[in-house]
Amino acid sequence: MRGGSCKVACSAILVLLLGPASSARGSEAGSSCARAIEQALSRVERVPPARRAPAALAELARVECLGALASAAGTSARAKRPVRARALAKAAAPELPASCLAKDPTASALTLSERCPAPKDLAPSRGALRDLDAGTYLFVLAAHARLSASGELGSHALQLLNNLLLGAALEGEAARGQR
Amino acid sequence: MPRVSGTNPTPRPNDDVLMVGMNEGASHEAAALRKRGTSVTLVRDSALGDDQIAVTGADRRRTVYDLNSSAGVDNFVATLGLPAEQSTQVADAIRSTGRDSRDELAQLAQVWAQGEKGGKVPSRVILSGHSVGSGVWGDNNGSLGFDSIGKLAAAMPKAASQVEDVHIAACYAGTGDNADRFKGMFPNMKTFFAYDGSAPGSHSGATAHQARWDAATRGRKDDLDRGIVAGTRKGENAVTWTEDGGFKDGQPPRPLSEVRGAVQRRETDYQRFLEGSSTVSNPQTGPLRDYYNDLQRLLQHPNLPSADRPGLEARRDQAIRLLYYSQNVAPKFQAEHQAAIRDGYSAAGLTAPDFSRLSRADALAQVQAFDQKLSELGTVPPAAARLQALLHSGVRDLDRSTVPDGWI
Repeated sequence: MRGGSCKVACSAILVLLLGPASSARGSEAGSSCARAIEQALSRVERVPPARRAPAALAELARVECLGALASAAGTSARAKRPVRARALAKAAAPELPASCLAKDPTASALTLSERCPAPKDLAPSRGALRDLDAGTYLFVLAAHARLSASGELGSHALQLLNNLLLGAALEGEAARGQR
Repeated sequence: MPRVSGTNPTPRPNDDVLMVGMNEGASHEAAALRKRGTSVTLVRDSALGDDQIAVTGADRRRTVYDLNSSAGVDNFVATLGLPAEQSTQVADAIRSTGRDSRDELAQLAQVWAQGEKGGKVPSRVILSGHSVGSGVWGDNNGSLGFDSIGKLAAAMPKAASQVEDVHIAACYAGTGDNADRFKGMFPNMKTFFAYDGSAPGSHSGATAHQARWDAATRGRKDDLDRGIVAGTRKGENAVTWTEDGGFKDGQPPRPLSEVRGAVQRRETDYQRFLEGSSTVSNPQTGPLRDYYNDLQRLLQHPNLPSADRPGLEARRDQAIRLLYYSQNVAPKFQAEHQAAIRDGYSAAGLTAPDFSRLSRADALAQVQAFDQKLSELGTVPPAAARLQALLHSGVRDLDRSTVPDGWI
């Protein structure tokens, strides 16, 4: 993500300072993290797309390398959409630059994305951003940053995050239709 | 812009469909199209395992290639029978995509390889799967980024030039930027059909939409109305792009002043490319492609005064030639006018350069030096005068009269 975060950057520097032994431990942890992500993706993709946001959050709760983000995912997975959006935004905030703070996490992510753009390997379209709530958007950016910093951002992880984006956008579209 | 009519004959456009189906439901979609009598080539997840592809050689021996390894990709690409440099580009394109989508991209390369060898490839393409805008993925399958498809199209330009109609049967991929992106991949693309919101699923409306799209894009039609799916499930989310009509999503067009302003802001960039101080690294993307796309949007604007049109059309035609200057225009100019170049330079007492090998900046410097030399001659020999006109029109000005559409 553009700008990154102090926390993520500091983690990366710490790994470099601690040297190969620490990196090796990180790699082992990464392997279990990668396996957890792969299993999570497999389970999420058995769920219809429109119901993938809560499913993805429930699965991300088991991905320990996400740290506090995993806990937030778990507690918000079953929450109603506005409650979930606020909880996810709050969990994401420490991982993201100040430009990514959302005044209203339940609002569309479209406006927010202009000052807090998604990384190129996610890049949801304007239509998806319009339908996404800002809270889920920020959570995905924070998870992306954390996984990227720990070297765990593989194709399974990206696809899992995309499934979360898709599910949340479809929820938003459905809510838009009901208004 | 008029349809490309190449100097090298290419197969006639057809109504066949190449469907890249990332989900299992694509088989259902392909079957429904086939029931309509449409010839469908379905590219789908390999049954042999993640990123495995089988090829039967001339000796009828079947070999399975593991595309997870770089050597596996190279060995597979060698079976396509393409020149070495092109094989490298195709292999790079396949390697550019992630886990479990290399098999689909490799199958796409197999289909398009026929086009590279003078054969026909389907003129219509459907990409079916899930999306949030920049690629398509499948359940229990990989994710195929549009960038990777673009890289393959760039590596296989003869095949890519045969594609006229693109349909992305996936959510949220219907954007003006994506229409531009696919137009960059497929220079003869006439229509683009996708969704700005959710798309119908394979068993919940996709086949009905695809049947209407199939009917609407048959033949050499240049028009596609998003209304073809009006009243159907998810029909309200459909968007279209056409060469003449531009991008249509049911929303009012942006103000003309805004669209014109976008073009004007890029004018300095454009002049840098024209004079050769900026170079094109990829004709599909970058500031010059953005300028071209903005010009197209301006030309497609319903409120554009007709008096503005000729000048903008001429600029658009020059811009597309500039995009492909090094890749296509300069080599073809050199090949087409080799004798005139040799005779003209000889008549002027100069050594002829090879324009196919010169950068645009160096080519323009050569044209300027030629002009200077002729101005110093008392009498300009006819062969030199003829070449001067040719160099001005073909190299300096990139005029359509000297650089035909088929060179792009």
